[in-house]
Amino acid sequence: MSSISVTQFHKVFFEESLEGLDAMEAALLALDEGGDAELVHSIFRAAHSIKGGSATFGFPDMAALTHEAESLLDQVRDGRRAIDKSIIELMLRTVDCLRGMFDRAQGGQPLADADSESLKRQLAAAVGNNVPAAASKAAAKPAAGSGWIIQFRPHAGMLAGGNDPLRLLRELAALGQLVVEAQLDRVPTLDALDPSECHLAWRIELTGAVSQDAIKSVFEWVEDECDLSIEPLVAAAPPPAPAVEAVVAAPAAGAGGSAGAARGPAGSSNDAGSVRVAIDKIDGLIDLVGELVITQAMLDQFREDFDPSRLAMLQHGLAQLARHTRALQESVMGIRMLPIGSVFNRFPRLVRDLSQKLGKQVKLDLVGEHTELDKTVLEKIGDPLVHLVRNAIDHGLETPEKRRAAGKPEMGTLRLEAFHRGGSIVVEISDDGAGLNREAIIAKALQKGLIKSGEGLSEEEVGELIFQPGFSTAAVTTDLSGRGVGMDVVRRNVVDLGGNVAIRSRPGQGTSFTITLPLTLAIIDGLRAAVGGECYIVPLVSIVESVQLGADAVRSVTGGGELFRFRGEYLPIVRLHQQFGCANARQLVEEGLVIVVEADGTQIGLFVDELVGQQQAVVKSLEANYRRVDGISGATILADGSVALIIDVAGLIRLQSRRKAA
Amino acid sequence: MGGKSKHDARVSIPADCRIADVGALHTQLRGALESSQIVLDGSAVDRVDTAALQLLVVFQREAKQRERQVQWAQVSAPLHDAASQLGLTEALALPAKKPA
Repeated sequence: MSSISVTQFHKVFFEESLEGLDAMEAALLALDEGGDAELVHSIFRAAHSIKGGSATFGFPDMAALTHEAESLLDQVRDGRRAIDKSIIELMLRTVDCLRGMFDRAQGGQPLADADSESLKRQLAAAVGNNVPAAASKAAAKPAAGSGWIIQFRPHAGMLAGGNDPLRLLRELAALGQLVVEAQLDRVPTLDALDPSECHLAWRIELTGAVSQDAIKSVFEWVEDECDLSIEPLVAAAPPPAPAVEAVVAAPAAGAGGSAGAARGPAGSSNDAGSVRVAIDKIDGLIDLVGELVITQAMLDQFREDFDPSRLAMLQHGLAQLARHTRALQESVMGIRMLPIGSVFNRFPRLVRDLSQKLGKQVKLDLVGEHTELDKTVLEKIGDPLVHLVRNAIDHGLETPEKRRAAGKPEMGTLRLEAFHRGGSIVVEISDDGAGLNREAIIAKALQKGLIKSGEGLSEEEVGELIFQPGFSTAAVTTDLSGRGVGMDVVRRNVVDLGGNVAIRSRPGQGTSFTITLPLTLAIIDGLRAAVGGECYIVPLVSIVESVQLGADAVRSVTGGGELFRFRGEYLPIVRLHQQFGCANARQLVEEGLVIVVEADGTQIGLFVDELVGQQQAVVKSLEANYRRVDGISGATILADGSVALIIDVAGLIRLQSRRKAA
Repeated sequence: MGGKSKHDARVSIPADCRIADVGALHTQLRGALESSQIVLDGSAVDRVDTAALQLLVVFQREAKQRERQVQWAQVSAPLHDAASQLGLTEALALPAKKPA
């Protein structure tokens, strides 16, 4: 029973712990770049809460690992040990290992594996290396079993180093009952003996409720001056059991099936998803609801005794109601909005690891982490961003030697920036690397038959080529990028989110990718356009402007298309009534209106009867309720209860260009 | 007891018998192996370490191989404790506890 009641808190524990791990990782990376003591405290706190939580919720393996990490951090925190690269590396690995454990915990699998066990030993060894104080602390831990067998063989120089096995054995004797067996197999003859060298070894049986840590701490000063093994007494069942389980669990996880199983439940729990909302957002909501209730009460009064003289007040009340509803709506939508920092957070680690692996020096600039994005968008933008960042480090930034040769600082800069622009969120990934290799791209495109000739292509057109399916220019396929998942997938993911990607590259100066994303997928701002008896919503973000054309402004072209001249360019016209088969629509261009829309850098004109007004549309899925229709991204319900379809501008443009090609 | 003859040697182990001073004891013990009967006097031993005990262990083994007779005259408590702690009581052929 009690286990059931605890299980319901697991999810929260997992979430909080994963956040804790993120924080830990960020702090470790900051520390790596020379951070202050406060960082150590925050890392310690994160480890400490995970340790406490995992012990409480019945994950002893996790608790044991974090305990070791915490002990090490404790030494750093108390100034008994200086933080260095090796500790940071060890801690980063601990973070990774714990993430893996949480994954497995969510899948209900055994937590420990060979990795975690070896990491635990390394942490313990690192802890043991240093502090005598840890001995008493560790000894306080519950006994792992009823005893240990210690095989202790000092190196020859140990005695001369001032460490006397006699003292160590006395310390051991203080822990429990000892049976000491000296091993004399290696002692030389008296003549050959250098009395300052140690040739003895011992096999020691220690019985008593003693933890392994306590024993280790006895030997901590001489760890590198002896061969030491500490094993549980065979008679004592409990200690070896977990070790065996761990060994069994490792191949099972590697066997394949379980890996997928782990992802399954974890994935589904993510899908069901929950949002953690800042308390001030909730407070804001409560305030708004309060206002709404007051307004409603005020309007209610009119119902009781309405008098035409009070019409102005009624109008005032209705205006207030509209204002509050709008504010409430924005706040509720705001709950789905999370700072993009949660996605950016993974990059310092990624960049650190990649740059080390590739021997490049990379400085990562993160700007605008507080920019908020819809949760759905946020969850799906991570992978494309990771791909772009990998690309930038792998292909974009040069090696320090090349950079020096090009007269640039050896340290390359990778910049991730998020900001609002209009109704969109823009995320820019830019590097100061070599820029796109025009020749290589054109050669590859020719080879793949994507283009017929590379001559006269503008930088933009060359940039566009890398978004083509199957395109990858890495001369050598590294295990980082160039795994066949290319820029086309990045673009498709972004487009699926209602956004787009553009590339800008200057040879020798760098490349920058600009991802434009809608603020939210759930509500769009749009213009309501009438076509015949129907109403369509054109997303405001895609509208460039609307124009009224004279009859002579439109040229028919062979093949049935129509063009009109707009700011020096000829744009195709898409007649919505033809596209969607609306009856009773206006046919003559001069009677209607052309809305110039843009997506993916292409503009077209949409011919409609007239614009009715601006409207916020709550997007309902057409696919879920009907089926997918080309050129339509969804539907919404208008104030009068009728359904209006939402134009998918990018989709229409694709349709249009396909028609042109046909 | 007097160890004067060539067949009788007596080695007194110093009060402070630790690694810094085992060199002298080493020399003494090597010399003592020339005798067929050797008496070790551990009565004065106050401080002793592993290096010294190891030396004595090696000496005992060697003596046994060369069929020398080694006897402990007296063994101080610290010596006895240290040997027992290191599991060397037997190898040193120490008499049962209770310093004589």
